[in-house]
Amino acid sequence: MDHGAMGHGGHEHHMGAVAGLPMAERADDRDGLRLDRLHVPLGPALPDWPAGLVLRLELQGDVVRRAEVDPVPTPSASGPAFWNEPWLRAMAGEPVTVGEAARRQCAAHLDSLGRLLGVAGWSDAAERARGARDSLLGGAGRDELVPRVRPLMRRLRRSWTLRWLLAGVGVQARGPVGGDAHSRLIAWLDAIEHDLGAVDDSERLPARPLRGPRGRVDTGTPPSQSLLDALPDLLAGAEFACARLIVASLDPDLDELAPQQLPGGHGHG
Amino acid sequence: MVDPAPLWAVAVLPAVLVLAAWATATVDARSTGPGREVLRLLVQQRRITRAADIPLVRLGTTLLPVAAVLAAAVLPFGFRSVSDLPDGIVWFNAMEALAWAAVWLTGWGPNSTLSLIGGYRFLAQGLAYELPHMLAITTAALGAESLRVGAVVDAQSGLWFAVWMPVAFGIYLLSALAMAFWGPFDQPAGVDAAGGAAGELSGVDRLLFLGGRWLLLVVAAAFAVPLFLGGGHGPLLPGWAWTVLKTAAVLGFLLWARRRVPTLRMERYMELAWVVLTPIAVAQALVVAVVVLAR
Repeated sequence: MDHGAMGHGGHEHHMGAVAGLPMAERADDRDGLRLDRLHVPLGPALPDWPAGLVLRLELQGDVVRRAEVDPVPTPSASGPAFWNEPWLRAMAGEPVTVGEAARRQCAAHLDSLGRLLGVAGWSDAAERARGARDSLLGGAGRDELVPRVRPLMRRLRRSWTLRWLLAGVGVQARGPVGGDAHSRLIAWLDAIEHDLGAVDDSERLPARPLRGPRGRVDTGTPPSQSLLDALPDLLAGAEFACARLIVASLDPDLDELAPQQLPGGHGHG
Repeated sequence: MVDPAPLWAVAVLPAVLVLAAWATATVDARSTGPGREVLRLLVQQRRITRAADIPLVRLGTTLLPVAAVLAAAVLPFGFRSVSDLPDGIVWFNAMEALAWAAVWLTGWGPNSTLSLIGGYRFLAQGLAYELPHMLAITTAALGAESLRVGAVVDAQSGLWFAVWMPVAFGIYLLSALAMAFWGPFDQPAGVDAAGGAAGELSGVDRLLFLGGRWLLLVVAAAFAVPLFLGGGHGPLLPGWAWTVLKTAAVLGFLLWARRRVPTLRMERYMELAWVVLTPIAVAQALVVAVVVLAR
């Protein structure tokens, strides 16, 4: 039965099939055993998964041996990427207030936070984050939002179980999302608290630098591209639950990658 | 001594457990009540995955509630249990291990990756929680110098074991959550794996499996009462009332715990369980052994 992995290009030509399904072929695992390799696509739709993302995983047991990001299909979007909209509009020369941008950024981080907490299995906190996101987008004022968001932020910062779960997961040495999943979470919390103070600010957004929730939007490359590029290395060798946490802690927004029409009619991206 | 219950109790036991599980699910802040969900699952058509091992899935899903009910056979209600076996604690432990098999079979059977991962996860979870758990329940047996659940209750007529074996009690509460793969230990049926072991179940299969999990949670919580909380002992009220009250208190704590803590990853918990919990459980057993010898 053992044909080995060499030279088959990762597919199961010689293994026969059961009920029309190919058998898993074995390969060496990290502990020096030979285990079945399962080729499993993750996405495009899973609970708390970045919409549209497809990862091709090679699993041994529940450990990810290899991961590839499927090329993102690019349907023409009808509008600018939702989470980057204020900055894209500012880029097109429209007047955008600081408060408007802060509100969108804060909501974007709460959205990511809800997804990460959902994957971390903390549904109570995830629901609170989503509730706060919805009332932010619904236009609630600062005085109404702060008493809702602050206690959640405090609880998340203090939770040693959350730290224990996320510390050391998906460590990236450099880059805009350096650190581990927990430090990325803390960065979101910092940004949320910072932006929350500015949601009612009516000054005009400065023309540069235009930093959206996931990074600079005015450099030509969508910031989520670098997040996607980081995924395969971070996922290789991760246990399945860690892999989900890593994806959620980076939370790439595939909307950014679609070729987009700016509000002014100029093509972008 | 715990008296044997009349024979009809055998028939009543599952019904009582289902009622208790129903009440717990109703009280749980996160659920909208089990009624609608149960009806939905009863009429839902069963989906079957390609090349699924159907007998295995059926066996697994049926085994889970059966294991819970069998474990409850040694559970004293007040001072009566269906069967006060001379080694009731071992029986309880064995039935709980039967639940491991149930979840693993349910995860393996559908020939689907995410449910398979759920099955793997429960085995990893078992390896992580079982060692300190066994030490904790053995400590209670040691304190009573008997593996008979009735004797453990009798030994607590003066002082509850929870008072002088707090470590064993704490570890038992953790493992009660873990054996019902619930709350912070729900990774085997985790959202991140689209429901894990339960991911491919539908209709009656799903009802049996998830209902079985509620039963297991109730039984695991209820077993803390004879082991550590003095069973039916208490002032004024009759024994059965104390059992109900104490069980409700433990269940209330477990429901609350789920809201406060995210899901624990077993590779991390394994470290805690083997490096911290196991040694302190051994130390606790040692303390109890010395007290028993000196008595």
